[in-house]
Amino acid sequence: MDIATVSILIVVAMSALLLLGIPVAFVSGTIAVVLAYANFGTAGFFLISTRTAEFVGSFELIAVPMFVLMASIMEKSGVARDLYRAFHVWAGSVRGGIGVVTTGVAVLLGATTGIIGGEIVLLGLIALPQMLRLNYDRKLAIGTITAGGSLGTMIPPSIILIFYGLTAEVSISHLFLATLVPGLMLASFYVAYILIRCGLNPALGPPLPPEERTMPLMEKVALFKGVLLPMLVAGGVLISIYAGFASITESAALGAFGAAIAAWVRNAFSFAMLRSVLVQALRTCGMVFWLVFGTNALIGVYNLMGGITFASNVLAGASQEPAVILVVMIGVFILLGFFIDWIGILFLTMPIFLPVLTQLGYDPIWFGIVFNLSMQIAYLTPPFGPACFYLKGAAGDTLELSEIFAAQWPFIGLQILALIIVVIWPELSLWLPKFVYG
Amino acid sequence: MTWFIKKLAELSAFGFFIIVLMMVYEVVARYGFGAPTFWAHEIAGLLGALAFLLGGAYCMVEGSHMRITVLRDRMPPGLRRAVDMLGLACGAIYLSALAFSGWQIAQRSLFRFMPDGSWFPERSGSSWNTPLPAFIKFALFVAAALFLAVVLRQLVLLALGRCEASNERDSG
Repeated sequence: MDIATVSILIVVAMSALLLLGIPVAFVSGTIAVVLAYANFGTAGFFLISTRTAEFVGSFELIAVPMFVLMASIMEKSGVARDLYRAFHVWAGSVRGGIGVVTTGVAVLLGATTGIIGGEIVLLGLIALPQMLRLNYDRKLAIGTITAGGSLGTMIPPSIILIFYGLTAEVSISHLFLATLVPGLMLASFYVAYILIRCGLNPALGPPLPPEERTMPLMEKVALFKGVLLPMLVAGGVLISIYAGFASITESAALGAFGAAIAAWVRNAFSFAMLRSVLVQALRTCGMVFWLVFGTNALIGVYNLMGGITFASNVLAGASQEPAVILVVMIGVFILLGFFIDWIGILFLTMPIFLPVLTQLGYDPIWFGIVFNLSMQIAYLTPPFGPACFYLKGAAGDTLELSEIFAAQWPFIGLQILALIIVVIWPELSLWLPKFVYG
Repeated sequence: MTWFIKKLAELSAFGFFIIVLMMVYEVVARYGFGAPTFWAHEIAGLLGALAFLLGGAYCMVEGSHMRITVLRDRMPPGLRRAVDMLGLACGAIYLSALAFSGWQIAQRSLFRFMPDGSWFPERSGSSWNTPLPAFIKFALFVAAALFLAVVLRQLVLLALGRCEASNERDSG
């Protein structure tokens, strides 16, 4: 069998197994094992275990559980609720004000926690009831939470960019800076969208009732006291990474430590809480890393069979025009995003895309941001839209999944708009790392 | 058995806590006293790897591994059971290959001896030069074997028609 046939068979087998509901962690691993055995016999298994052992031993990976710890500690100590309270009193008489506040809080949460699932669950529990109570348009409220909550990976620290940096072998701190402007731009699109829609039709997002706007200024300011320390911790972690004070893993660990101190100051720290956040980190790592193990093994076997070279050649030969190839890549990201998780997409496509990309002369840092933005779209699109599942999980019976999915389309449109801007204007993401690091 | 695996994995999760403390100590020692440790990074690497590896079996026990259930949820119970068994079978194929070759590479890097008979495992090559790679390979074998055991147990339970396995998986 030639490599072209095998490549097609891999795609078919993968889609079939995924759609049947086979655990994603097993799908690519099983295919890798079958391929390795068919081509190299049991000796082919070496590749699978060696690659897994190598991957699991890389020190940078430890940044992932450290950031999860920092996020879960912040979450458990009620930072999100206080943050929301501190900001929502400023919404005042603006139509759609609470929607704007929700987006703003989502951005700040992105800097402190940045774990998509947790962020959407928190907003779903805290902000959604508020908006529904004020009789917001349901679709607008839902979309604000899923789209805003997904911003976490666009705002550094971002787990997606850590994995991308490791795969593409580019500096993670450069990536963290490059994503900042596009991330804030996307957030400002959401804000503008909410304000315009509510401005045109006040029934969509009524302002706070007057009796809730009477809080004196000093009291409003005092509400910030509770969130000052966590915000300082989050800011400190980013500065430590950007300034190169400590490595990403060390900075993340310092952040987890700082979050624990902040929780302790707020009397929210206990042994039971420590235990539950550690298990949460274990669960996240178990899920995500075992997914990577399988995909990583598949890529290794496929590469040894000459598949990567084949696929890269096909891709590079698709057109004379680099821009067309670029559009094909982004199309693949978005298409896969309908069905699988970002981590699967990253490890399946990047070994094929990155060599072609550098050959065409594109900047891998910028491409990381393009990937990151594409994954924003993947979070929202049905049938596999993790953001929607998380909100459904948090909201329970008050929302139907179909209603949640139906609410996503305008926000997906805004994400596509942001993606187009970043693609045709690379400087937008690249100027900040250039400015800071020269 | 599931109890044992859960406890073991939870114990490994405390490794994360130790990593946090070690990293804080490392940074303080480096900047406060100009004396970076030689051990913090390697121990952190080992503890992290242990937890990452055991996390797979833990999620299997809990049923929290990701899967796309849109189609599966609409299937009649008989077909659903068949699909679940297929999933577990896939897991068994993958994990047995991983455990099998994991054992071989672990053996190769762990049981190495000098001509004079002294132990000479594969080492990290850092200033401390621990047998870190050898330990990680051994941990990979153990974790893959435990994970395999969980998968096989669920497969047998499902085949015997006891619903415990599928309940565990649905709760995630």
